[in-house]
Amino acid sequence: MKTVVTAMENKERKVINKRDTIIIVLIIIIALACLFIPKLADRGGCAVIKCGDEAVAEISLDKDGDYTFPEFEGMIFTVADGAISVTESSCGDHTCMRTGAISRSGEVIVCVPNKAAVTIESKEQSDLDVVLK
Amino acid sequence: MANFRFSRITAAVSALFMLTSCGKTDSIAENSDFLFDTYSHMIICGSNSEETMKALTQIHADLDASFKLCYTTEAIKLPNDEAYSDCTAITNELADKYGTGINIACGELTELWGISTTDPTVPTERDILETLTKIPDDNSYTETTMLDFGAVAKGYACDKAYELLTTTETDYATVSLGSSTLLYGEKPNGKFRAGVTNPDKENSYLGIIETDAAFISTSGGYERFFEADGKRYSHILDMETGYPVETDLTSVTVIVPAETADGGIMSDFLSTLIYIQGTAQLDKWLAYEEFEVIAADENGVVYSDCSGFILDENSGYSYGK
Amino acid sequence: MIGLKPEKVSAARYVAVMGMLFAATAALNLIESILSAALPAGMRVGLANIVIMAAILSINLPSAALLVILKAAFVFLTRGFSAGVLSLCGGAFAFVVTALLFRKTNSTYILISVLGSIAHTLGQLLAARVILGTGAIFAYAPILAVSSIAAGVCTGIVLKAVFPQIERVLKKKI
Repeated sequence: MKTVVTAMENKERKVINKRDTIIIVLIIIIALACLFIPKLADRGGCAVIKCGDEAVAEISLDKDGDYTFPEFEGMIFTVADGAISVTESSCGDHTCMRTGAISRSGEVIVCVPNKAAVTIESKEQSDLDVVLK
Repeated sequence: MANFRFSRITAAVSALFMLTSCGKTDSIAENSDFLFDTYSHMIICGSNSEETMKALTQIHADLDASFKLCYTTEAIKLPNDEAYSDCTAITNELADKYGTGINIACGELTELWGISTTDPTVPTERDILETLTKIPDDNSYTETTMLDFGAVAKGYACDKAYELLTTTETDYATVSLGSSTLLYGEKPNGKFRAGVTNPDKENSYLGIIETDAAFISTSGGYERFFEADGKRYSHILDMETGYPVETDLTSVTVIVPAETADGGIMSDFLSTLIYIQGTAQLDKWLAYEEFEVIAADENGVVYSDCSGFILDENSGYSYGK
Repeated sequence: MIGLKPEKVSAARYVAVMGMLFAATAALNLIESILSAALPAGMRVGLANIVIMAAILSINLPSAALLVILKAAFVFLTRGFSAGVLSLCGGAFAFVVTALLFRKTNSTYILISVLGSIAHTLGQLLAARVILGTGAIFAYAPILAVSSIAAGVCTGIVLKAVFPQIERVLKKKI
């Protein structure tokens, strides 16, 4: 049995040229710009933890403590110094743990295998004492 | 999976703000927990607030254990439970005064529907009728009756919180148990502000209530329900039919002044009862002076006799009447 | 433009080269997971992509596509379901973008590599969004884009050095 393969004539293709360098630099600038946008956001008042698109809990960032939830087995969320981080997780990667602590709206910690997403919500309406659900 | 939503607790004011608003010699205690099948959040501001918080947490934990996670249990298991008899007695008084429709002896029906479990199902007509016959009409129960205090448990817990707080030197406190809350005492810089969830939009408000100390409870079909065959079944059961309530109201909120005796269970009881009865009976309820009502119906209309209620313009609802 | 020159290669040689490429993919994948332990959350070096791109250049599209699938299967077996899905989706996006660029344009290796890397990251983000059920993960997008670009530059350079060797092995007349 013979397999037919097609070869490309790539002799003319260069490693890099001026036009492409410009394109890449532009892309870098755009990406860096997007990177700095969250940093301008306010420090949030509370962290929202979601399982899928359902909010599981809202945790105030003012009080230090550890939290666990039945939806996320093996995960521990820790609040300290006005920021929240994942200190323990049952996932294989531990990407969520390596994200570090977040405290501003726009910042996120995500654990895909556990379907957990932590976001920060700012205090626009936290002059409310309670919310009835 | 049960549609589990925790209340949006926004009472997390920054520590600095709290310190300035509480008073120099006072302290603030804050606690969050899973109680009564929901996310609860409490703030106590006053002398020895930490101790008060500990006592309150203990009381609530005991109550929670009594009422159990899905509020159904056999009376035989805790025959002398004071919470049961107390709660039942008050519920009966309320029923006498305001009308029947809430029945704490309906545990078997709740279990039949399995609403609080992860796998609710629609029972057969025959099963429903059979179960209905077993349930006594008048909130009475024997040792073998299955009880369900779901309609009143949180309100009752708020009452117990109130009782505790009156024995302490607490300036103000907020006790939030999801659909029932207690706003106690007096805030130094104004009235309490309570948000009412928009039944149609998650994480959005129907409006804000500005009020002095009060018990506030909300009932609605949007919070916990399950879907089967394309139909949505709410978790509130109609005792007449045995089926989940079909009403043209989407949300009912009842505000009872804090000084009212058993105001908590009253607000919880009434919010459920008014919800069940629909817009047809609203005039009657709006006429009562001892409590205030905010009701939203499925046509986007809001009825309210609450002077402190501020409707949110973006809620999609507008005033009727 | 770019010319295509069909050539015949024996089945045995083809299978051997493919096997070698798959092994290379697997090894690079393992190296990458060790490396990413030192990197902040989720950043990818994209080493395995070099193999895929080399396959597109020196063999043909179906073979490269097969390698993408095998790579995803490997990740699935070693790191779990969600990781496998992310790899498949990222790999598919990168494959499409890279193949198009190589076949239809004169772009340089580095540019194609960078765009392929970005496509890979985008594919992974989309897959993660579906699994997670919420758009929260897109907050990671800017930082991942920056690291993808850097990775793309490096892999592009390596690619140019590497793929002629594969071509030679495949067609070596012994």
